[in-house]
Amino acid sequence: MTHARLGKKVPPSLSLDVEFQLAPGVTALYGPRESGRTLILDLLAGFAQPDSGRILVDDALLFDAAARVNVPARLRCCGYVFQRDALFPHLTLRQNLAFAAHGWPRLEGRRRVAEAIERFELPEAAGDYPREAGPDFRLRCAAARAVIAEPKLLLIDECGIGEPLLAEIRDACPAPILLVTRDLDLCCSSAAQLLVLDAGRILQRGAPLAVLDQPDSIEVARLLGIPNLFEGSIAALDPGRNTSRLKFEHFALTAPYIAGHFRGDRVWVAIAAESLVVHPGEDQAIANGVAAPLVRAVEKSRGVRLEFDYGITAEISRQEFARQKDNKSWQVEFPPAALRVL
Amino acid sequence: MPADWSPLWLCLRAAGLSTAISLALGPWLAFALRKPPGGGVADTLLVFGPAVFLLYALRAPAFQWPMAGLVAAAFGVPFVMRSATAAFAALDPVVENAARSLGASEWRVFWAVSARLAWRPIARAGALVFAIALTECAAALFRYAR
Repeated sequence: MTHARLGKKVPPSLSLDVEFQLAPGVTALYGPRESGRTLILDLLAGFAQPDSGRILVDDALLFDAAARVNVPARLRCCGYVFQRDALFPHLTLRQNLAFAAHGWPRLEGRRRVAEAIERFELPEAAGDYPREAGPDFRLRCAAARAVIAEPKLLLIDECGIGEPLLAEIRDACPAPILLVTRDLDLCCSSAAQLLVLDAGRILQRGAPLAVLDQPDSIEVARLLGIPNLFEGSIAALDPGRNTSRLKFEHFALTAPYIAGHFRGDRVWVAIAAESLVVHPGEDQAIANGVAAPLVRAVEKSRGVRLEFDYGITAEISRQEFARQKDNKSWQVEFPPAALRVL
Repeated sequence: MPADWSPLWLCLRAAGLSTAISLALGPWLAFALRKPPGGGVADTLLVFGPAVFLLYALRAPAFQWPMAGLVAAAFGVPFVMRSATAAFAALDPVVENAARSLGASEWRVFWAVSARLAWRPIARAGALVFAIALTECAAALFRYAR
């Protein structure tokens, strides 16, 4: 079992207080800058000491503030891929790997280095010094170096790692992997668990898709980058028809029945930009539609982002935008099933 | 009268010994003591080093090059320590932490990473220690000259 409870105050403003358990596979730690993401990794690796808490990695106690146990970093068996380039600049990539394989008998060490070079596709750059190798080779070498020592816990800071390399690391390292990232696509494709961190606290945890689908709070929704967040009040509740009517400043919407609330309660509603459907304003009024003037359209990598008045943002495909770009007015449909009451 | 080179050999031997001791101890002490209040140790020793040498030069009954070398090292070690402390402080701590995360002991971090990356300022300090020890020995020899 790998479990950590960490408390640390960092002047002037960060007060870290987190507890989590890591299962084999990738756990993504998602949060803004200065939220304590790298500090968590440093505390686990032993480069900083928590004020309180306990760290258990693979059932071995590494830190316990109450019992005054603090195993030094070199004995913790925690692999670390740093945010910045941390390859030894005076050693070639192959020698960097050999440094990590130092603990093994010589022949075994050499076999492991050769295997890592092969697995992480480093043969053509193995003889280069880090300054001569490209950033992709350096990142792969850093990952290979962390994995080669067979860590009991692998910590990966936000270093621009991609899905294929992460899959390679996961194959090579059976230990739990804690990955700091701001890439939600990477979380969804690779992580089994997502921890949403803000200001030293874990706000929500769960499977990435479940967290994205149902954020617990307005803070989580904001951190996850959901652009459509509206505060309104419950105008009507109908448990028989399983519906509720929500009134906002500029419009009203029908949503599924909201259990545990009364009429007049203030609630926040979130809806993903991709879930909104846009229609020409000339069409007949659409159920759960809001007539809103278009403020601007922004080209994105995967489609077009439409920003309407009242703070409504929708994302549609390029083909859909090409079909509708000459609309004189617009209606935005809020599918009730996609509305999330926070 | 033929030239007598023996004082030069004596001074070279003493300076060589002091440089060797300084380079052997200085960087490692700097590495081990680099966290506060270790930094102040080098500065304090640096003040006392020349005083010890002066005392030796004035009080010793005869000039012995190993003793002169040892005494010059009392100045040389903190001199190298100070340069090495500055050189180690300029290193990126992430690189040393990377070595620790790979299971390297402090000695290995020092020898295989920090000292390799910071050898230029340490070598410069060593060269300076050699030069200073040579001149100090030469000065001390005047006391014993007939």
